[in-house]
Amino acid sequence: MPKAKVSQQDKALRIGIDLGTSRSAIAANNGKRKWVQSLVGWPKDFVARKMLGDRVLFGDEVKEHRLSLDVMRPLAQGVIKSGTEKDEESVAELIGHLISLVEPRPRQKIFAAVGVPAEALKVNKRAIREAIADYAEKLIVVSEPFAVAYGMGALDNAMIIDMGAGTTDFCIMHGTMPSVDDQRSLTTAGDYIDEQLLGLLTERYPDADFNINVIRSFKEEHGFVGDSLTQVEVEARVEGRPIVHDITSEMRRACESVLPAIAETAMDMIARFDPEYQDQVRNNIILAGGCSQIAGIDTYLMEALSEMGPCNVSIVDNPLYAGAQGGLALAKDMPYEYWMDM
Amino acid sequence: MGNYRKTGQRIIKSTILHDVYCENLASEQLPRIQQPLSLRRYPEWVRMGSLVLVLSLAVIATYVVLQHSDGVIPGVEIVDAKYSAAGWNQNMLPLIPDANAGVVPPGGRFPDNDLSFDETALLSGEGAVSPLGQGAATDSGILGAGNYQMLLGWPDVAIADLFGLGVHTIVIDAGHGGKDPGAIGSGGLMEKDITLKIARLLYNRLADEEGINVVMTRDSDVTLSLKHRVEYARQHDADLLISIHLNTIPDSPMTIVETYYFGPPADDQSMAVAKKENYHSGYAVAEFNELIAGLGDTLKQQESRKLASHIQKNIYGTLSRDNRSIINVGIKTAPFVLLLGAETPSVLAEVNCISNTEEEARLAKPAYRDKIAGALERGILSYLNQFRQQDRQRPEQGSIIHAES
Repeated sequence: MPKAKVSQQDKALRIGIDLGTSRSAIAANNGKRKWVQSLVGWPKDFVARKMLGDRVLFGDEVKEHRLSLDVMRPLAQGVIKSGTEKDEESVAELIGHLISLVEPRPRQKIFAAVGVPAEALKVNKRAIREAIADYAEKLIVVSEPFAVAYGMGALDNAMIIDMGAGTTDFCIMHGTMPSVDDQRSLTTAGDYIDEQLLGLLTERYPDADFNINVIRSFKEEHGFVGDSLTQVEVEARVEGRPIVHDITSEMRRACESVLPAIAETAMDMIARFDPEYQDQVRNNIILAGGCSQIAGIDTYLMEALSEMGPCNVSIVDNPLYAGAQGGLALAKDMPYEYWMDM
Repeated sequence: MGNYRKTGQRIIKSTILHDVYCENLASEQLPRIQQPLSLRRYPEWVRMGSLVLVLSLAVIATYVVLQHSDGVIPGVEIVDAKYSAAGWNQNMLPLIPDANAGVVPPGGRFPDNDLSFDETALLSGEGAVSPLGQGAATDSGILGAGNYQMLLGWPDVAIADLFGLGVHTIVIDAGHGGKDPGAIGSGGLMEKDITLKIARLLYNRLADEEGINVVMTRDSDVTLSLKHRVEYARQHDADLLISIHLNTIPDSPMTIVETYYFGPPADDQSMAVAKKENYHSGYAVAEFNELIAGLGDTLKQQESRKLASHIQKNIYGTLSRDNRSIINVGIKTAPFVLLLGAETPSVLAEVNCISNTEEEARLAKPAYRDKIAGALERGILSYLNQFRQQDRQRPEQGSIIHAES
């Protein structure tokens, strides 16, 4: 049997990228998938360059050497911060690093579907396009919640609530590409919870040495809403000595602080949807993003939304990769003629 | 059942992928951000080679300039591309309606200075053959070479720009109403109800705009003559009038969107549409003659055409996402009494086709109607943005329009 001719597009590496405020992930059709913290760092001065070399650092390496680095979080607040050259460069560096992690073959063409926070899509889609121009031959850019919905096949009468670090993005799917009216964003998300928790703990334990990175790790490990069966106890230093602190009530208050706005927005969006299909949407609410891992969040939202009628809230299986896998599904399905040249 | 579901999912996926393509295509139209040349992706030897090449070229260029210290390099003529004959090509000819089609040139003899060639062609349906009968002509057509010479002496400026005019009051007219149901879909949906609902949504959207007063000719299911609507616009000192209608194409599943401004009909179909919409105008012959006397209103035509362009672009852009087979017929001229009588820039937008059963079903949904209202809003606001740009250019004159697109 003659070997089928492999076309150029079949040889291309198709990738899905989830460019998040806190974490960014990539999945490729060569089976590889990786994630990094969305942190980019450049050596501050010649001493730092001597120590670290003249290179850009990413993710955990940035955390490790943060005192020697100019650190950028490219998508803080869900958008490329101020649109300066450095901000855009950091996005480009991050994308380049992510692509290198899935190890494309030398000179292999790359077709990328990039999911970005909904706000970034509105504000600086063009800048994101420019940022990836050096690394991909073809590109499509979509909002993160849409990428998640596509990956899960939740294409009709479903609502995705993507609770990230910088923004909580809402998206109603109704069998077509969601329009501007079908999408909303709130800036109360993971970072907001961290700030609340830091404020509450500093107030209760003024002598304890908390900082925002430590607080974030507490939230990721112990975050919960509703009633807790166990106490949350963490270790923090007081005058250099490790002391155990009970942070149960502060954790609950901080995590619950974002939920009323989220429930209200979800209810408002559903109420504006075609009445004929509101029941279906209410029973097909999907939580994605890092904050969806806060224990009890689905139950809390289900109760809050129940005043509109019975509803069902589920959580994506793997929030870390849901956006990237959705992007990859999009990249695989997208017909060649629909790809945009860089 | 399983197969049916799979097929449905496949169709939805295919629609969505097309929508993703359209949206990304739209973002391509945004102005390109100037980006410095990046050699990051190339290996070290390529980067070094490039550096050596650039330095060599710089040395050679310096040498040549020093050899000709009078500043004139033989064989090189510096010509401002703006004034260069070579900078002009046939594709840059301005678009005005074909004189043979009997269409009054929109905007008098002034070429529209607001839209690029491609944009004008798109808005006027250029490239998409008019599906509507013989002799159908959209508001486009390239001026012949002989006629073109005539235009060279005319200033390339619109009157509204010239005098820094602004917009304060917008009148929204929901077509038909009361005893006049307008077109009726096969499912029983009436044009008068849908136009009213879209008009209300548009009103709500525009009402928040700072510095703009929005009024509606009707806010309930009442019979209003065209004369009454015109007088209402005059009484309220309207600066802009938009009349919302739905098209109907008997015995055809086709769906078209088109936007009209006043002028002689471009084709038989436009005449038929005008006849339908002019039904029960309420004008006596003498009054009508008075209206006709006011025809030579260049400002109104210029601005109506611009407004029609912006609205058509947004309506088609929005609806084609949901229905790929929708046809962009573009902006057209036709003798609508309403548009003739209004003393202000005015358009009649046929925002959908109620005769198409799928579109009729969509029109029954509030979300879809809101989409249409959103598209109309964007069209109006992008039209109004020209005044905002004038404000920026002439801050000392001031203007109350601060619309965002």
